Amino acid sequence: MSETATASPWGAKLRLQAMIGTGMVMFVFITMHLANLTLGLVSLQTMEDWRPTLSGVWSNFAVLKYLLQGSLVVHFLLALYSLYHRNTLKVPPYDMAQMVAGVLIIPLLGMHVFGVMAIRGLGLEPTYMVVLGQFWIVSPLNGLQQIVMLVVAWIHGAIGVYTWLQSRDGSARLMKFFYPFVVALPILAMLGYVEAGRQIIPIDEGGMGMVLENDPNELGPTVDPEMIPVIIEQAKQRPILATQISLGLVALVLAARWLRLYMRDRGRVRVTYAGRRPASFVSDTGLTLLEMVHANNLPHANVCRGRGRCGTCRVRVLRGGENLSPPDDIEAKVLARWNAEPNERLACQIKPHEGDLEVERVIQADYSDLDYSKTQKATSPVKATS
Amino acid sequence: MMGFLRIFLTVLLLCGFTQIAQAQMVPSSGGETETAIPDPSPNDVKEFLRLLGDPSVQEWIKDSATEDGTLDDAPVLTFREQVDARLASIAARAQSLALAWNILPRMPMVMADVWEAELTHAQKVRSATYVLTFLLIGLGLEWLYRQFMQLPLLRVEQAPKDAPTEKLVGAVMRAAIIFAGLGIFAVGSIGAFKSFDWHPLVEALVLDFLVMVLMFRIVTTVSLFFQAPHAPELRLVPYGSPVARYLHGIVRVLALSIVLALALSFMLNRVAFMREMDMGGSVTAVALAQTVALAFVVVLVTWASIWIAFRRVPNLCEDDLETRNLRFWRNYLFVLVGIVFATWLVGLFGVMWAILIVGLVVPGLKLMTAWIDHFFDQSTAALQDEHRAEAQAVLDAFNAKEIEGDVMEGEAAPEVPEFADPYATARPIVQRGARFVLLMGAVFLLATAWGVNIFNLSADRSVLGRILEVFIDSVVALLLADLVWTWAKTVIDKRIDDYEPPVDGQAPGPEARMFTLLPLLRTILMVTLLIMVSLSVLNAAGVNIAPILAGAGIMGIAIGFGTQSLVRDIVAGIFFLIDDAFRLGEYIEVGDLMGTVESISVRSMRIRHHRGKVHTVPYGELKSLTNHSRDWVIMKLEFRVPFDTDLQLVKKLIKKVGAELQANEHYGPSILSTLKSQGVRRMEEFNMVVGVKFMTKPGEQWLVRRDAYQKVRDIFDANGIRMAERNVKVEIEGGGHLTEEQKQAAAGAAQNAAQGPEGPPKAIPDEP
Ligand code: FES
Repeated sequence: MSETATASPWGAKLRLQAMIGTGMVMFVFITMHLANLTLGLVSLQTMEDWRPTLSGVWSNFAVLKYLLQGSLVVHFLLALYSLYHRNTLKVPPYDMAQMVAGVLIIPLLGMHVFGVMAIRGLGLEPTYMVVLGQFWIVSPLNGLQQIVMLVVAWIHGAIGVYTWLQSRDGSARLMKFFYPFVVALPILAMLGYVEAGRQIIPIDEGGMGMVLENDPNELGPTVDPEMIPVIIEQAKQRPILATQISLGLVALVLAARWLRLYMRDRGRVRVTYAGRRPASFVSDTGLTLLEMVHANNLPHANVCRGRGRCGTCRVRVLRGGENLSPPDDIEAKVLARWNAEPNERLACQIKPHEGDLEVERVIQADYSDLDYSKTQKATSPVKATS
Repeated sequence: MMGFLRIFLTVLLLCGFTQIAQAQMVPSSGGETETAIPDPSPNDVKEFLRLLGDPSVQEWIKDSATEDGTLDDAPVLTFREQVDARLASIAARAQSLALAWNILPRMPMVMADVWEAELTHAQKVRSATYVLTFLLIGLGLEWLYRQFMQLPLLRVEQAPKDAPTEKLVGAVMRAAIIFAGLGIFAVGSIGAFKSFDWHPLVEALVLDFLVMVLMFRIVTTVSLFFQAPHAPELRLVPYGSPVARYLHGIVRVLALSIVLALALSFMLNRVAFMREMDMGGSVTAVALAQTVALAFVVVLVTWASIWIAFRRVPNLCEDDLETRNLRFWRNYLFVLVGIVFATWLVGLFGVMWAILIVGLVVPGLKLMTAWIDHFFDQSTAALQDEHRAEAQAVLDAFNAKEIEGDVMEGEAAPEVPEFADPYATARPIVQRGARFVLLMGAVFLLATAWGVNIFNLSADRSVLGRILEVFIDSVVALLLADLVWTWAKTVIDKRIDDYEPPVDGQAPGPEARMFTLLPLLRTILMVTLLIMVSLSVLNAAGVNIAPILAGAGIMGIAIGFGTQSLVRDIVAGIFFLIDDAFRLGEYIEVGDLMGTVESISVRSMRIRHHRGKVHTVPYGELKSLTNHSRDWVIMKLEFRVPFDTDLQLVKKLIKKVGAELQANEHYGPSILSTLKSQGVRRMEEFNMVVGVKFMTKPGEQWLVRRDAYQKVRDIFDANGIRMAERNVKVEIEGGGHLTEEQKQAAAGAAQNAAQGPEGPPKAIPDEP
């Protein structure tokens, strides 16, 4: 990412903002949706009563509907773009989880989204009675898939929000609320989903066999009976198509990325860490210092995991600094915020060139000397990066 | 050797786990009896309960019970009958195995049938959904917990640790943090699941899986505790990160396969036995068949793991391992696993347990010894490093001072104490203790596996029970005695080794008395332990030890009478030594004997008078004892000066002498409180008596006194202070006419009259 950031800092900023913005839209959507599921713990009826407010808004209002769809597409494309520019796939576990979850979302989600659309196409209201009936009774495998999807989507979103929050200094207090929230909501939603399922499962299969009062779908499908098989067939085909397209794109991007990495010239650099917990290793060039460190299983402070926002990965360059390209905008701002000395750089931003490099950690890997009071409070990090 | 042991440690752990897992499949497969007798039907159970409630039946049970409340035993089987029964059970087992073997090819079909009939497709998938959901709930809660524990955990993992004890503490702390997380996971998954009610079969299945996941995680956490593949600072086992990572991986694979096998076995058996209620017949065989199949898979995985571990790990190790040893232990484990599996297959569960436990205890003991040694080696090395660094710092500081010229002329470089290993005594004790625990654990496990209650063995009248009882009693007695003996011996030997005889002329330290007592104590302890162990072994073996005890008692009395005074001497000596009344080299006074203690023996001590006479005093004779060599001695001196002496000046001069004495390089340090004047002590007819005193360490007072006298005399002389002499002034009234001779004669006569008949005063007792 940093390579392109140097090329066009303005574009990088815009991309970052777009990524965060679209991600937030979808996160809010998922949050509301899960909140709706949570109500299943009370009863299926409550869940259904709140459906128009919590879930319906996103399909009933055109603005929100298009915003959501647009967000999904933009977010996906941006993600592909940044995947293309990733130098290494050996990333910290959180990033890995986010990446994998991101790839999985569309294949998992397709069935649900197109299924609901098909229900509408049939002229039915997608009540929870119908949808959950589909998931728990008609096709339980789909139900299993939904749980996976819920978790995957939530993990992806939560990691994104978490990373965004964490790179702000003042977020410690916010984190105290964020952590419980991020765990409690999906858990309650899952419990709600299970409980609601138990309620609608027929009695002879161990459930309670409940039905809704004044079910809007009492009359059955309202479309032309001839269309029904067509619509159902569509609902089956579309998710497959979406899956193929999305996975195809990902594969394509990965291939292109591989080509890009294959073509770049490679050299070897010897990196030496001085100070506490000294270490030394040889690595291919083209990676950032932080990526090299991770590749060599060494501990290193990196709160924002290499996004160039937190400044905890700073290192003091002791030798070999001449070869490094000067800090770009993003890095310079972070460094300025920390009142860094001139020889300090961000490990996640510098890309050592061939030769020797000797550095020293500014902040220890266990964060024992991390002290946010040393930053200039005035500038918030979001402003610094955006 | 060490390296090889290292690998072994883990592999062995794995095997142990496998075997236990296998064994646990046993009950579910329906053991030897179950194959023959189907479970009672609910009606039978009801009938049985009704009968139990019947007062007449209760009366009958009471009548047929013996006095001690147990029912009469079934007639004791002869050895032959037992063998017959055993052979019959093996045959039955073989039969059911054959049946199972026949079913095996049709197994999937049969199982599918049963499975299909018991649960609908929807229910099965839903079960999977439940498993997933509740696992995720548990994981989510654990993640939340981890989020709050992240920093402490990171600190624990990253903080540099030098001493292994620090390492151990760190590892334990980390394990505690992780285990707390596991607890939260368990509550979040199993707890949340249990709080709903479910279809019974679904509940059982889901619960089986959740519990198995928990088991798996516990095993991996234990492995993490020892191997710490990603936190080298916390690793307790002596090998590098690559090996740790590799072995951790193998542990995980093994644990996973075992846990899966167990879960599947439970699940299938549950379904099968539920069906049996209404189907009867071959379902037991089906269950046996699938259990055997799963167990076989587990054995294969174990074999593969052993094979791979022994192939791969030596390459990852830094140091070379002995190939022959390695091969031996690999084959050993292979064969062990094979034999255990075979005995299990045949249905000899008791034998299987015996082979398994004994087979694991042998290498386990070796590994444990190596591991403890490694742990202590590391501790000692860490301390030695620390010590060396400290010594270097002291020397450096001295050198720096020397360069700056701050060092006084002739000051020697500071002495650096030699490194002493503080764990020297702890090591053998810990070794024995660990061995004791391991062996006891093994015995206990064995007894449990054989269904013998070791706390109630005396009630067991069978041959096996008797043998086991004797065996266990003797082993326990031996191990305990060994533990006590090792502990006492190391402690005593260490103290004896540490004892440094006092340098000539110096008072010995308190250790000297222990030096006398310890060998005696050691011998007494050894004899006591030997007697106790042999008596308890004899007792366990059923020999009546009462006559021996009585005989020993009579002998004891006889000997006691004969050696009354000897015993009195020894006992009194022990108490004198414990009281610390005297030590080697001290100047003591016993009755009218005095002298330096020259040697202390068990019965008597030897005192050398300062004029060379040697007294031998048995302790029994000592009533009281005066010790002149303890802590401090005050010495008082007197000087006689004329009445016209300037007392202020005297005081000043004495003070000066005191300072001089104190500054003396030989005895100065032994002066506790230097010479000072006490003023006029009394007035005499012709002079004043000025008292002075000083306090020194025992033995130094004579030298100081000698010098003090000399210095005081010199300084008085130099300052014009005369010592009063006894002079008789003879005044003869009107004696102006006497000649010189007459005057002299008169003076002589007067002097004689004044001194009286006593003669000169008696000398103060001489110094030794
Ligand atoms: S890791 Fe956050 S700035 Fe580099």
